[in-house]
Amino acid sequence: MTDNSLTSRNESGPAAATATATTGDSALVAPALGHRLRAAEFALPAILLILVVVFSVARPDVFPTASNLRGIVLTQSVLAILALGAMFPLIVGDFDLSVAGNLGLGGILVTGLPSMSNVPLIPALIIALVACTLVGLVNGILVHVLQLNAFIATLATGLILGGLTNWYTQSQIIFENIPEALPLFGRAQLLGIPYPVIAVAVIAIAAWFFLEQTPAGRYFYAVGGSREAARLSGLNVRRLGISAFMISGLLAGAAGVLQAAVVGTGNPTVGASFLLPAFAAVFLGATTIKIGRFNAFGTMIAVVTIAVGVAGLQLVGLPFYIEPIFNGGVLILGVLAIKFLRRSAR
Amino acid sequence: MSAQVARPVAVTPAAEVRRLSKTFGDSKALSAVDLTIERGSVHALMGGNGSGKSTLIKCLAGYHAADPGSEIYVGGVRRSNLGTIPSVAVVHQDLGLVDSLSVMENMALGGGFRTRRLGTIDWRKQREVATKQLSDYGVRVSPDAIVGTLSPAEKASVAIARALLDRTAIELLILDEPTASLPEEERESLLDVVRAVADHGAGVLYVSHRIHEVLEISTSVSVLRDGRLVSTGPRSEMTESGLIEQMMGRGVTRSGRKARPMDVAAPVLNVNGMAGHGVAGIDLSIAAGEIVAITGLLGAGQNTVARLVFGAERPSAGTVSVDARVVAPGSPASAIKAGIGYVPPDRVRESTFPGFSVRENMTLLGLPGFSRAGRIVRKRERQSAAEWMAAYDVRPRDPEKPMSELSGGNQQKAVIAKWMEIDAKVLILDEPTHGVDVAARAEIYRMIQRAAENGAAILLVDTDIDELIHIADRVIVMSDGAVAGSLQGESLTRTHLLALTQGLTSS
Repeated sequence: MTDNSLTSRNESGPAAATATATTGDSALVAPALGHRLRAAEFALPAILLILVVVFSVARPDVFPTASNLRGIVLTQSVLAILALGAMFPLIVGDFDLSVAGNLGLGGILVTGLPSMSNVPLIPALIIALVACTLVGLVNGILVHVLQLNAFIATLATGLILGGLTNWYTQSQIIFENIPEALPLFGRAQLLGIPYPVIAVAVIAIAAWFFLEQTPAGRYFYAVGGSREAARLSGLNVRRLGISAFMISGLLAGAAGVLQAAVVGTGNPTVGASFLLPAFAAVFLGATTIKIGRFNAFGTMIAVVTIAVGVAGLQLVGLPFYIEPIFNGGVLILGVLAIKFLRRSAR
Repeated sequence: MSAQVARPVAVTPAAEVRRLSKTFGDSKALSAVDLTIERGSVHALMGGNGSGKSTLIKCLAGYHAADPGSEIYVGGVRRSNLGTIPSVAVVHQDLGLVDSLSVMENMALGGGFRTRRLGTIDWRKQREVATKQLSDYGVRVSPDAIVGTLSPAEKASVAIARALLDRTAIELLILDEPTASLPEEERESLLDVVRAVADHGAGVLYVSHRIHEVLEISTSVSVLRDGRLVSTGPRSEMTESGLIEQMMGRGVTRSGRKARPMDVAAPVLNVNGMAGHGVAGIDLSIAAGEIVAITGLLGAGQNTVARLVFGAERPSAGTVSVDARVVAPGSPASAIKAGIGYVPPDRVRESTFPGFSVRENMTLLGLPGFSRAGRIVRKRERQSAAEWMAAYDVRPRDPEKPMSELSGGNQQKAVIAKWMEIDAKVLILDEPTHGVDVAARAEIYRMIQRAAENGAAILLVDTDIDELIHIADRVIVMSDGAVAGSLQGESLTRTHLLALTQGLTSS
């Protein structure tokens, strides 16, 4: 094995010289093999389109109807916001496993405060979002100040949140005395588009704008690319890392509020079922639009693709448990496809 | 092992190379090198960066195929070109030990675990083997010690003992700079282990650039320069100054450098009493347009000075000021704000963002300047990146190419250009041409000169003395974390610089 370690040696002499010499003059012209990879960027949207066409042909009576499509996007709006939130720490290079517990916290605060403590809806909403953002702050401090491993730290805070929400609700689902306006928001539509879907669109566009169009967004990606290089470029890695967790917390809270609005109840244990699909969507999202980079629109396309696929498969008669199997299968296929396309593009 | 032909030699040396050449593309890394390593000897192989040391080792180890016509014999047997053979063991500088495991476990990783019938590890046997091996070579380390807790010298000793485990036919042990960063007192115990290996009858090829250490341990010495064997012979015939002369070569003179206007009376950068992380008492002032180089042996502290001045490391004492304004210590952000730029030595880890395009790498520092109302204007970014890439010949000329797909030299040019883009007043470059091909190297030195002509104060950390003489206005030589001397103007000659280096090594 000592012999093998020679391969890692940085040959500063002639070997390096020839390595660059071979890519010399011809490399001045940008190679024309990028188009395959560019095609790969649109593989997932293409799959989405194919799924829509196939299911529309298979069940023309049910699938392409407005109410069915509305149902599909409505059921996925909570997942979409949660995935957008979890994406921020991932961009910086951290897992945030507490998003599920934080979603539960947001949901029971926005329902529980009015129901059990007679707090009006708007203050309850603000308290819920602030509390969830503070959870993100705690995560950020644990990871970026106390230097704990993010995976472990957020696993722990997620567990604690699960316990606290059950304590607060005594493990009961909150369904009494919830202000009318909350479920109303979950059901209301604007020009035929459900409010929750509009909320998702607004958040997704804001996330896209922030990440792609502002210096701060670029800094997040820089920290995720190389923490040391980011530090030596004068970026405040600690502040950026903590901010990512706070955004994650805020959006997890928003997802929780939306979940309560759509279902009309506050359920302390609802978060867990969203955790893995949310991460799956973020990872699948990195296989499209901007390959290899977690990105907002990619994540949205991933959420919708999975939703359409699952809904369609159920419409053509497959049972409910097809959903997680489909999720996992698409994720593996997506990542494999990118890996393959990348290799053949080189 | 197809081409093994026995050679009729009275006392076969441990290893022998005849007319060893190795060509990479157009360049010759080794030209007809003859070298004999006797049994029981510690043969030192010396040479500077790019002298061909590592190519020679790789040919001996069977990692590179030598050019046709070259002959390599190990224990009198002709070695086939490629592949590892049991009679040659290599301990590389990074040692390849797992810090979190015990010495015994690390040794087993090299030689395989002793197992009982069901495939479970026989720890008793394992311990016996490890203990015997350690004591055979005089390694005074407990087999149960966790490797991460050992001193560097102890680690290197363990790596040597492991490399020789289960080698019944060991002829040649190659040590590739095993003590690159050891304090004097630790070195001694490691050298005992090396001598023990030679006493067991094997030949040891000891690769190092530390003259002091080589003279202390070796029985014979060979020097490579530019791929050729400059000298070889018994240790008794070698002197310190002679070795330095042989390693460095001679005849390069300071020539044709454009005079730059500089106001030495009002320096841009002032460093006072800087100390910390192994260096102390660093005073430094650099004027606009001045190129000051810091050099010294590996680990003499020159890299630390660069990090302290930039704030990558927090100093324990001292101040840095730019244009007479003190910079907050230990903060790269403050340093950048004050106008200090830093090109770190480790491109992969410290200065590039591999997932970013060349454009994103080059514009990161000045991003607000490319924005309008908080929004990045991509067109401006792309334009600026393209201009800098054209100005310094960064290839391929495609700002959207992922940075990681560029060659090392082109990456480095892009890294330096990003500091020039934000007009750094002080530019610190740490080994900017390390691992970079010849053409890019010339371009990088040209960039540095251009930056100086534009009024930047340059602090260049470099070990290439010839280049320093060419480019620097003043050279500071460091030793053991302190300034050993400073040369400039008429006195900045190869002879003086060598003299100062000699003073270093004999101290």
